[in-house]
Amino acid sequence: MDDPLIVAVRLGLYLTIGAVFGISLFALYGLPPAGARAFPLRAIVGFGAGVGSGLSALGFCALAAGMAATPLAELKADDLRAMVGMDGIGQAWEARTLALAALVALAPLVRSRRANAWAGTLFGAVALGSLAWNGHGAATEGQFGNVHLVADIAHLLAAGAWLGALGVLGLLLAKSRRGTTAEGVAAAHRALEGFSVAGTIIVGTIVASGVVNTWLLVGPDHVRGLADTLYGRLLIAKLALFFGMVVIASINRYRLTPALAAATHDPRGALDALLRSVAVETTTAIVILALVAWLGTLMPPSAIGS
Amino acid sequence: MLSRRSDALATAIVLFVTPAFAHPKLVASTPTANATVPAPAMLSLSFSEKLVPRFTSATVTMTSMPGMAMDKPMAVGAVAPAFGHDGKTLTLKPAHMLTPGAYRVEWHAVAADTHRTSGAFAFQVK
Repeated sequence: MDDPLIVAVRLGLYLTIGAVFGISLFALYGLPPAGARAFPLRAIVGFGAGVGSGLSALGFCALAAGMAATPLAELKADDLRAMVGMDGIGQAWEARTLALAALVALAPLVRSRRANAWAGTLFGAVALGSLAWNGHGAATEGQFGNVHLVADIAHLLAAGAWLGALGVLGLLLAKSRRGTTAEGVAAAHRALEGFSVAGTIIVGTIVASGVVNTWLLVGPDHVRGLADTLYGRLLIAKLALFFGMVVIASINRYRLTPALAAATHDPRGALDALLRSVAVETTTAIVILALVAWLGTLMPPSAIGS
Repeated sequence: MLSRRSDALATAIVLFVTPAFAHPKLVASTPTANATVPAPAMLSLSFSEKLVPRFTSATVTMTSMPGMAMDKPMAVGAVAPAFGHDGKTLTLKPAHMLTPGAYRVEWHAVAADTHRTSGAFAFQVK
């Protein structure tokens, strides 16, 4: 690992900004009113955006320190100025900073749940999409540069949508498990149902954009030797974990969610099973993001030997 | 038919993509590495990528001179780095005429991919 601080900051950015975007988006399409009342959207968006801006600033300084080869504490203002002036990565950082600052500023002002959800979705999308310039998405030049960037942004947004939905579902399930009121269980069930179509779109987007990215970053000539490089091994681990997530999500959708609807008398067993499965899925998602944070600092196979 | 088309596509993608990921690499220099030359008025380093000037530089040291033992390399004073129009070339102008002896150029460079790379080469002044 080149720089553990940079990898940790990248993971933190994916988690916080992904959650801000995904939770807000889920509040727009999947959260039933009963669930919405139990859910502190405003606090989550404001807090997430605040932590995200802090991490974004730290990550920017760490990257500048790496390029200047000075310790973080001895970073000069001119180093940061040079970073801000860099094409792509500089503007992306500015856009991310502004979007997150807007969310932090709006959270105490806007009381409407719907307005908060829209703000979190739109500004969250800008902040999350801007992370594409931190990775390899912005490194492809020429005709395929834009294809790679668009694919990377789609990949980030879909992953954020999934992460946010898992967070909301986990919280609703935990709440209804604790109270086990008929209303709470119904809200959790409706949220799970609401996610079923969105989940399919999300998985489809992740697979399609992932194929484009892998094609561009690994390249057809390097597929056979993938397991020979650290990058390749991490990528294979990531794909295996992603496949595991899809399997768990299918079990949730086709077995556990219908079981919750059927268990009208005592839903506790069905809730426990769902809660366990969402917890495993969320943990897997976090491990995948950690691998992604690491992968983004490594040389992809298509770059080696070029 | 299909396979030919996908081969062509793969080639096109590799052509477009491959150079962009590269870290900045030294592709040519004046004087050339390990060359023996008359004292150059200007040193120039050409890289594969567009450079970020703030994070790119080079130093020149004298590592030996004829008929005299040197304890340690001696820095060549005041080399002013400048960048070419294409942003890929770094030029260094030694403050004084380089006297006969062996020299070493150490460079470090950052391009748009944000990775810092470094390297060195030697040359002789006759």
